[in-house]
Amino acid sequence: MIPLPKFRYVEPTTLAEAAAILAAEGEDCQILGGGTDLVPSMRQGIFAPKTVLSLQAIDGLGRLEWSESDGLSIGAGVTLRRLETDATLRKLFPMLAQAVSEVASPSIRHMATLGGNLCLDTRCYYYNQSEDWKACSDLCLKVGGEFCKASPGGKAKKCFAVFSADVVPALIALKAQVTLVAKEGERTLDLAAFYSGDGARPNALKPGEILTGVVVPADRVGIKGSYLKYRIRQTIDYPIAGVALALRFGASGVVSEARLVLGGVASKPVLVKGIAELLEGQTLDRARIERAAQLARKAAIPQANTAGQRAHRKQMIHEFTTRAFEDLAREAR
Amino acid sequence: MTETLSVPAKMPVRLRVNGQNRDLLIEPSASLLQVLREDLALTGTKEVCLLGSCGACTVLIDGKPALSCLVLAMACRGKAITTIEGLMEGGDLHPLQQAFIDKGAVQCGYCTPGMVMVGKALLDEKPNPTAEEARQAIAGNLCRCTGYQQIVEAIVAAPEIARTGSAKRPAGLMDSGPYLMPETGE
Amino acid sequence: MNKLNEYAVIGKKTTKTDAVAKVTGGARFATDIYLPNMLWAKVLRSPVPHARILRIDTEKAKKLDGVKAVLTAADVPEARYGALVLDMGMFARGKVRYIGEAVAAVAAVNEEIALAALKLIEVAYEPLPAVFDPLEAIKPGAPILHEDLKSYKTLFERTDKAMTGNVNYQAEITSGDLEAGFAQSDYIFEDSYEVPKQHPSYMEPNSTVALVDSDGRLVIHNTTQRPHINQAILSSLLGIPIAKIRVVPCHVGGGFGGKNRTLTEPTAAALALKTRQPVRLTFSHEEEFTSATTRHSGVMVMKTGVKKDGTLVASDVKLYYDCGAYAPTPNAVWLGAISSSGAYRIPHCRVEAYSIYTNKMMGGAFRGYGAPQSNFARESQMDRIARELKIDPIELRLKNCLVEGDSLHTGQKLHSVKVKETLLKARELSGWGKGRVPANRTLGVACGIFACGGFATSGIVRLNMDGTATVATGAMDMGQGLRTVMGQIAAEELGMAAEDVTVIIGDTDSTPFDVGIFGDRGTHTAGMAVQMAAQDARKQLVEQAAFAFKTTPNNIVLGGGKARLASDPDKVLDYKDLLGGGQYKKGGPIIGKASINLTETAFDPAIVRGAASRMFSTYTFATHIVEIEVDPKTGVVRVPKTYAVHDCGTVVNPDGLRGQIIGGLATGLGYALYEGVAFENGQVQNPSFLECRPPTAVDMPEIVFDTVEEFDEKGPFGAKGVGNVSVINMAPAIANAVETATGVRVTSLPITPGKIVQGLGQLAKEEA
Ligand SMILES: Cc1cc2nc3c(=O)[nH]c(=O)nc-3n(C[C@H](O)[C@H](O)[C@H](O)COP(=O)(O)OP(=O)(O)OC[C@H]3O[C@@H](n4cnc5c(N)ncnc54)[C@H](O)[C@@H]3O)c2cc1C
Ligand code: FES
Ligand code: FES
Repeated sequence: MIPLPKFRYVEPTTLAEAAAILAAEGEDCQILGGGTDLVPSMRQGIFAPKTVLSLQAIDGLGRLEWSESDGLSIGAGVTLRRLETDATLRKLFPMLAQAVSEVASPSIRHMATLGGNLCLDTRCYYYNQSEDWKACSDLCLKVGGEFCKASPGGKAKKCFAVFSADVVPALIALKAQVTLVAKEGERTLDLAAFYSGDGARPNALKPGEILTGVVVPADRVGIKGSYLKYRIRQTIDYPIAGVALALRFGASGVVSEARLVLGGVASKPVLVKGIAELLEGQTLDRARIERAAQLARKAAIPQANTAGQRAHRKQMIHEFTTRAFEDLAREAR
Repeated sequence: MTETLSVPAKMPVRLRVNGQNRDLLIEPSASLLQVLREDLALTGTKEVCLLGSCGACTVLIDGKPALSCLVLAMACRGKAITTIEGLMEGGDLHPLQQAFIDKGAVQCGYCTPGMVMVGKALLDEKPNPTAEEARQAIAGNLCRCTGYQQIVEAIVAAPEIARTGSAKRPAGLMDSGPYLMPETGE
Repeated sequence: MNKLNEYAVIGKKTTKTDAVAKVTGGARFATDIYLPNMLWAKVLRSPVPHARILRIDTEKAKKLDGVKAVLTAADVPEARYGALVLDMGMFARGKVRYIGEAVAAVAAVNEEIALAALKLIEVAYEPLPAVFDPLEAIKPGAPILHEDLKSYKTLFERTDKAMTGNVNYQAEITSGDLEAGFAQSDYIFEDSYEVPKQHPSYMEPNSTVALVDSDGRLVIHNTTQRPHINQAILSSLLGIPIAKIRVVPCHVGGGFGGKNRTLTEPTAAALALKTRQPVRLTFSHEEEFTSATTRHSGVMVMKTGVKKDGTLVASDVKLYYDCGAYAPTPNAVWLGAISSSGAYRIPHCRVEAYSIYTNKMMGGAFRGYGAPQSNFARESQMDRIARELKIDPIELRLKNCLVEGDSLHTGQKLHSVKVKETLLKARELSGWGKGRVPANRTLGVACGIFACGGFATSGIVRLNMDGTATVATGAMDMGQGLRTVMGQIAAEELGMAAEDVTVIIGDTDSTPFDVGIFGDRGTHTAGMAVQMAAQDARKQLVEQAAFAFKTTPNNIVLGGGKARLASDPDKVLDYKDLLGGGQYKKGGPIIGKASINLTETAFDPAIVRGAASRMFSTYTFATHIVEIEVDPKTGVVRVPKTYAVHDCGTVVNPDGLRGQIIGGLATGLGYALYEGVAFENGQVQNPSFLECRPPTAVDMPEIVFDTVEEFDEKGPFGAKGVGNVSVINMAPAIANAVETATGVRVTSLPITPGKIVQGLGQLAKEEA
């Protein structure tokens, strides 16, 4: 069996202890959630940390709590399987449950954690390969080469590896807040702001920081949501285009809030701009939905670094956006 | 001059596998799959992709299906691990194993241990699964031989075998293939 | 004629003999062997598609602690092997021709050290221009892969185009008068189709443990479809007599043609001979996708002439199969040529078939062997003809399909031809044309032909003193259940219960020669040898009984483990009493044997030039009708239902047959919709199941399956194969349904949503 690179394994039982280890070891230490992303990457030699720090023994990270004042609080250690089957979550935020149920395969969801999904590394044909494979031609930007080989023309100095987590677009559509803890203290930010758009360093996690969980604000209850995912096979495969739409309807079908987030078509989840301006205060009609779909199509910048034709993935975004709107409009009626 | 690779430090661990405590000395970076196969000689659990994309390495950890190629053995301390070798009950086949035989769900057999393990996890959760539930449960497990139909049928048929107690006691389990024994771990 | 009711074992549910071992985790595969003192081998592979090797320096690697041997081409005999074209050595010699080619190998005390040692081997390459497209590779001035091609040994009759430039194997079929045929045609259709490489995607990786035993013999434990050929190849590559080599295959974790190969064996063997320690070489998942073999990719150009009423008159086919850098089994294109006229009667035909070198991984055997490519072209074009001529696609097929006594375009006269019956039955099952399908679903049909059985094999049946039997066959069980079927065949013939027969397979020390399990030869051909061996044993048994009863052999009836007098059925002797005590009052111990070659008749040289085989013993047919849903906006295709009707001869093992057919459909579905090895500059871009995507349980249609049972006189108890033909119809049937549903004809595989949507004009110009 191709061995994993050698590392030391630590399993702290408190967050403080974990933060201290991380502070001491810096970039040499890698956090392990369910391992469904990190372990394959280590196997391919993408990461070779000196220390692997598992979060599994830290108590508070397994919380899944709903309160009418504070909203839904989900610890980073909660497994996707638990999210998918939790009755409260399914009732309050069916779109979230839907998005979770579309991740990977059933066994992987038993293992995978929310924290891992939020911190999922970006993916690319040139990146998710073994060292031997990569040695056959120039290295790509994300592993120390000069250019992003997946970029148009292959000469960009920016990494275009694709962001492929399913749960994140749904959470961003629901205005989730994320909490990061380090030895120095903690910070909370909009989940949307957590993502950089740089495929090489996809999120704002600083060395030493642990993502401890997210909160979906209580006022999100009543929002209607839809998550549609395009993948090649009907299971296992990562999204190559995904749409999360959250809408609130006011009296007589007027849209009072609208948020549209795309996954699998850029180096970060794309919060489509102009949707609120276009729709809030309006009723949904065919023309407006088409305008929204066009905005979404334009915001999607898929590259040739994963399965599917680029143009087709843009078409999928267009079509899924239309469908998500139509579905929710129907539901609202 | 001879070059030497640095010898990794091994760690003592106790794993509970198929109801037995096993005290082992392992590298902290060893996957559960590696320890099962190479230290414990439990080669029923198969190694195929090592990327989480095939399910051949599925075992149960605390009753839940897990891809042992993605799990670190160190992370399994204090948990109950069940492999295909631990499924028989008192010398009888598990009803699901019997169902796989009866329904012709086994061809080359390389996916079979993983399939049986996800099937078992499903049956533990839903004693009488529908065909659709069975199909969904094995969605992450690839089989190139069967086209899956007979595997689905086997999972659905298992409860009946359990009820009628018709699982058989095989005469023996040693493979008649090459007479080579895995080397057992220290 | 259906003789099924007369049989006691054939056609009855019989539990697979290896099932218990496989459900309990006890089955030992080649990957499960760990031996004391076993070394681990790893292979250094070429990182470049085409280059001259200037220098290889292994000194540093040899000095690494724990390394026991390092081998390159310089350390092994200069011998080459291949099924028809002997073009490949154990290691690259002088040149590398594809990314992933073996350059050196290391044996070390563990895998980590072996891997580390590879990094210490220095190879200097001088890059050469490379060619990746078969049509480019046959143009004048293209980079040449094998400069000395003409001097390579070959095992087929060379045409003048064979073994020149980058063409290795080449064949031509000409029947009738093509010009006249086109002149008689009212319409001529000319289309070109393209297919990618498909990986066999057996679950178990290639693996070999090689050791030298105390007698100084080389012992191989591996995963293979052809132990006896392995043995012969090892002998020729290593210069060791066959008798000094023993191949003992383990259970095979899927083969599908991909293990009709010799890949890990020679390297492991050479390292074991060098170190005198057991050596294990197992391919990594990535090596499976870069350095094993795949279904050939290719381009098919098909020109067909038809009459107004739909009668096929003339067909001109050119097949350009890309075999990669070496041609371990270029006869894929030969099988492709045979299947290229479909299951149809076409009076005037020409086929030109080329196997072409490119700087890519090798093409080899894979379920359907050559036919999925050409049948995709033929059956796609049949629907285009039907649409153009406004004839129902099934009617068009019925009008032209082969019937009993017809000859194929190769000149071979056919028997047991039931394609018409499969078409009719599938039409009925699916409710074709009856408006029964839900509004959002569309039907698509394809039928096909595949050559079944042939080549050399043998079998031995021994009767034991207690009335049980031991069968030995060199044919391998890759999981399809051949071992069980062989037991059934012998039991039926000998009049005993299936559980009283033990079958030994594969081990070259205890089984007689078989050429390998491919081309539906398992049940059919190897089964025939076992049946004939059983008949031989039966004859001897009857003689013993006649002696015991003091009667003539024709007065003896066997059955249920007993011999009886026909004239007085109350006179009964159990076999065990008959043979008991080993006294053998008449003749010695009973050993039945058979040694056959079912492909003895050569093709007519006036029709076929460059044949890669003699005539196949029989042909098998099937019709598949898919019921699909296409989303016209997204192009996403789902296949909720499939109707499969096979002409399989006698059904020997119903469970096994069903599993074979559904499994074949799954592979066909993957070929149609998902799979395809993608290359960039000769490098495989998607070397894993994650990116190459075999279908999962939730992608599979519900399958309604049926058979038209027909007794095939050339198969054991009238049986023939189904393993290959089950693969070849899915892609064209789905492409046909897609066109019916959307008007878009997809002429290349896989049929991706992008291609459909593009065809529908949904993609903005600047985006596409
Ligand atoms: C075959 C296969 C298919 C897949 N398909 C999909 C899919 O369809 N959709 C999808 O979304 N994902 C998919 N995945 C990816 C993955 O399974 C999920 O995204 C999963 O949620 C990751 O969670 P984890 O706990 O296993 O992550 P891990 O592997 O443990 O971690 C992933 C990354 O996040 C970091 N990390 C984890 N937790 C924290 C934390 N609390 N704080 C800071 N950093 C942290 C790790 O260091 C690592 O870099 C697939 C994976 C596989 C193997
Ligand atoms: S080996 Fe673990 S999922 Fe394939
Ligand atoms: S039985 Fe062979 S892979 Fe499933």
